[in-house]
Amino acid sequence: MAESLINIEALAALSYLEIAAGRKDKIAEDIGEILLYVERIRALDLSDEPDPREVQTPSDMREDIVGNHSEVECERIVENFPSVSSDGLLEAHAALGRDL
Amino acid sequence: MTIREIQTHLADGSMTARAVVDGFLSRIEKRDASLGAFLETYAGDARIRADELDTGGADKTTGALFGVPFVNKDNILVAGKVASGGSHILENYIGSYDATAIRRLKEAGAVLLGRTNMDEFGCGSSTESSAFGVTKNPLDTERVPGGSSGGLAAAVASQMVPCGIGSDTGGSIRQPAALCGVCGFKPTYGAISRYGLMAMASSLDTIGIIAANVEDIASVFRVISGADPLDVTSRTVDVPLPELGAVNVEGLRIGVPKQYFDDHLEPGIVDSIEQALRAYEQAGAVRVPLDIPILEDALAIYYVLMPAEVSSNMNRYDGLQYGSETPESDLFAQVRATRGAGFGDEVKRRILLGTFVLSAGYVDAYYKKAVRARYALRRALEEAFKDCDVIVGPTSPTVAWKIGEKFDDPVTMYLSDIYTVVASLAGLPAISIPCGALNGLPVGLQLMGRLGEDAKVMDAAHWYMTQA
Repeated sequence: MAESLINIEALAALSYLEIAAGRKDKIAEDIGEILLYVERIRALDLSDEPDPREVQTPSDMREDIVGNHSEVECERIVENFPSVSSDGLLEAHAALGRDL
Repeated sequence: MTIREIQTHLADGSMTARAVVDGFLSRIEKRDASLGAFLETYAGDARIRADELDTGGADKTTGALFGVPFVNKDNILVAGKVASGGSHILENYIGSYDATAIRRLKEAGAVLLGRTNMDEFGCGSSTESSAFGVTKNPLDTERVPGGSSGGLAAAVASQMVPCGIGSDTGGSIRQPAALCGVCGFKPTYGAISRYGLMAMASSLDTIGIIAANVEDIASVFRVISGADPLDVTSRTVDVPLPELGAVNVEGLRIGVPKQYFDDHLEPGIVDSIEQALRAYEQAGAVRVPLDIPILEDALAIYYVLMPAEVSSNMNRYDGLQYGSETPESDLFAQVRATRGAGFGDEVKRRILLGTFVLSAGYVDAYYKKAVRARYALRRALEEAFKDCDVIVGPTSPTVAWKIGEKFDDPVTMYLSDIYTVVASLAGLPAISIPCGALNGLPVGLQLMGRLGEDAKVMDAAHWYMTQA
């Protein structure tokens, strides 16, 4: 039953994932089998369990803090950018304004 | 050489840190060509560091792991070194800082020898899903070393290094340790900072330790555990440091769930586990039979929650935030192409599965149900621990299997995690230690403890390895 739920094209689109044509059937079949296995949890009676939205996680979350990082650390971060222009600007891949 | 032996040699002057490092590097050179445990060695840096230690160099480090070589799994960041997560998409990514665990090891005087192979982003149980080739089991090179920390386990088992650190999300430290005949420890969730660990499934991820014996694991744990302001989850529990030899086996209550001896367990493994249980009983421990029905559903719960979190965590690898891009004229086509070319099939399967269980129409039936089931599992274990001190069973349902044997059958592959995911879902400490052999291949015994009782788990395991 679970396998029939799988629309591999739609899932791949939702996941921003290109799947090679030759792999689609096998991956869909695998996911179908995995879903068949995990379906057992649908039969569990969990009516006594709390709603997940009402349960506090144990972590002591804090606000993000801007830290002071060493010059070396900053240099290493910069090294992971695709390139640095001659005037020192960091170049990243264009996210907007591309030709369609 | 174990950590203790190394420290004895260094203390009595019979070896220098440089000689220790040279010895292990020489062994790596001889053995790794046939195993593929390492993705990269840092021979030059390691020798420089060893010389600094020998000459009382600039920082005069004389820490708890002075001169002890170690390795890290490829998903833990080291400043200035490639950290690929076993994936093509990050093969040129350079760590910009040391993970907290790495920093603490370095500050304690440990010397990093290299990074080890792993299933891509931790997604796998055999290290066959690495983008950089399969690691072989040192005990039988036709077989897998387990995973996802197979490179690390193989490196320790073949004595190319005394210890190392890696991630354990659903058993990735314990299962390869079991298949390679060494010890693997997963701490209480939050006991070791994950700052600098690539996220796979954040509510499950931990940093664990592999070594030849429990004493060495305890030595590393003492150094790397403890609160870290850079990882909020590291402050949630108070975990005492291990003092091995403190446990009193006489009267120790050992819980044995009947669900651990199900149809999935390879018949010969039962004998090894029984033998270990009898050794504890002969020393005065009390066997407590347990019936925890929800353990039968643990793997199913895990394989809903884990892919859901994987699908979310992998979103950052799009060629824009992280990862090498595959150029396309359209932005979204480029993201799809980048991820399509950069990820292997197992990661793709988990992303798709995670997307499915989180999608409208299915999120209630799968994801939310699994979240509730996880709470039920935790409560069931809390109840069980009212009657026992540790829960014991097999680490893996099988011994190491042939390379390729399960690779095209994900459900069969996932079943190898069936006994390890329990501690992961509940956030509990657990260790795998060798406890016999089946057809010449090692069997792992898993001990699991209450939240924060990492020391007791290690000590009970240490007793078996040294006294039984």
